[in-house]
Amino acid sequence: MVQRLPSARPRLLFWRRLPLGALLLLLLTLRQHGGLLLADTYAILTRPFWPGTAQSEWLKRASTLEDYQRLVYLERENQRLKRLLNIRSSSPNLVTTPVIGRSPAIWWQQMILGSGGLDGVAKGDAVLGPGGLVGRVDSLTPTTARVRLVTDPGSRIGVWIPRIQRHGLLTGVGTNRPLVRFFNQDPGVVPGDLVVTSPASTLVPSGLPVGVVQGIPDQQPVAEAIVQLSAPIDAMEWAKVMVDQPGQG
Amino acid sequence: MRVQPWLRGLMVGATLLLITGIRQLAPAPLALLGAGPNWPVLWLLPWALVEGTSAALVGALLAGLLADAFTIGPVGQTLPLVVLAVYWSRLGGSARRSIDNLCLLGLHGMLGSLWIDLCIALQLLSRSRPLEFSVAAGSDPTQMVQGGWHLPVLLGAGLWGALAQALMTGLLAPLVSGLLLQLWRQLAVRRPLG
Repeated sequence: MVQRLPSARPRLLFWRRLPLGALLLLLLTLRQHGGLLLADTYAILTRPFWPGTAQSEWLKRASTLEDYQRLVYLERENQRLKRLLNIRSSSPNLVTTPVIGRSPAIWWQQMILGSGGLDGVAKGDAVLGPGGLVGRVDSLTPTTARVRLVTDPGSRIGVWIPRIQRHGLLTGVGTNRPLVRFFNQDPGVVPGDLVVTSPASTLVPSGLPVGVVQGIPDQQPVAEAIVQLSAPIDAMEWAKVMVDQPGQG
Repeated sequence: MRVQPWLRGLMVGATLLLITGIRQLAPAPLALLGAGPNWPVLWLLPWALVEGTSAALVGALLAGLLADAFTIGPVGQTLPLVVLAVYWSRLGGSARRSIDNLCLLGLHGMLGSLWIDLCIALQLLSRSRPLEFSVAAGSDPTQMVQGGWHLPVLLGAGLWGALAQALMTGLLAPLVSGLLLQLWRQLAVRRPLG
């Protein structure tokens, strides 16, 4: 009878169980690192079978809808809180009206709307286009309203730059791009900054989008910024008048 | 054939309303740098050339008041149109005969438009107040709400807008004013004398 050497059996067992141990060690490592290598390999191998852009678009639309619903909720909440604080706020009453006349010459930056006093429009009401504020009602007839556009040199509207928390005055210069003049010398405004109506404004409701800063003129005695309006005034065929707003004149 | 006075009046009213409508619609294809032609000038030019001074004055008042009724602010173009009506209606014989040259008609339209814009610019300039907006320099911030068409704005947007309008008026005058010139001449020739 042949007798095995006592040290040969454990060595053999070690070599037989080595792959299993290595596999366990590998899995343990992957588990500890959150499947780092495995997940990346899986992603590379399955990339051709990933869902197409259709579902991505669907998700984007769902996200937009969610944002809209959240905006509506926040707007209602804002109105409710303003009522609680007894702060008069912008009314949501909007009169949609066609644009029936435009500036006949460079001297009159105006627009004629097909709604007037009979529709509840009053002098000083803010007029909105698709994208934001375009002007204020200057004069009225029972069925028409003449709007002084924000591009008119006679137009002055208080605006607010949310990013830098600064007030300014939106001033028309007879072109499609009005200027914002700031009250301080170095406001730190940069191109791309959003411009909205000022919370301190008594002429128009606060927070209405006006446009974005397009550029900053050089060598001006006072800080200015050129504004690209959000609303395409030249192409507008319909406008909305915010009736029953807080302050006039 | 005798032209009835009511038909003549009807034509005057219809053409005035037509140019007022087009002026308010401000069609984009007829605009350069956002400025369209001066439609009252295009209407008044042939009317003043064919009719006498008194009729031209009445026409200028009608066209000017109608145009001013649709614009905001106190400035207007009625008085400059009256001056143009007097000038065009009193053009001498040779100048009046040479007006059939379409280029000359365009030139008159262009100069008339420039005259109107100059008068409006002067009115706006006289009504603008000094714009003091430098708070750091110690100015009154409330003056920021004052202003209007100041000289820098006039020399910028105003000047280019006036030149563009004059160019468009000059380009359209041979067509629009030329057609109206023929119309008023036909009605004037068939008008009974006295």
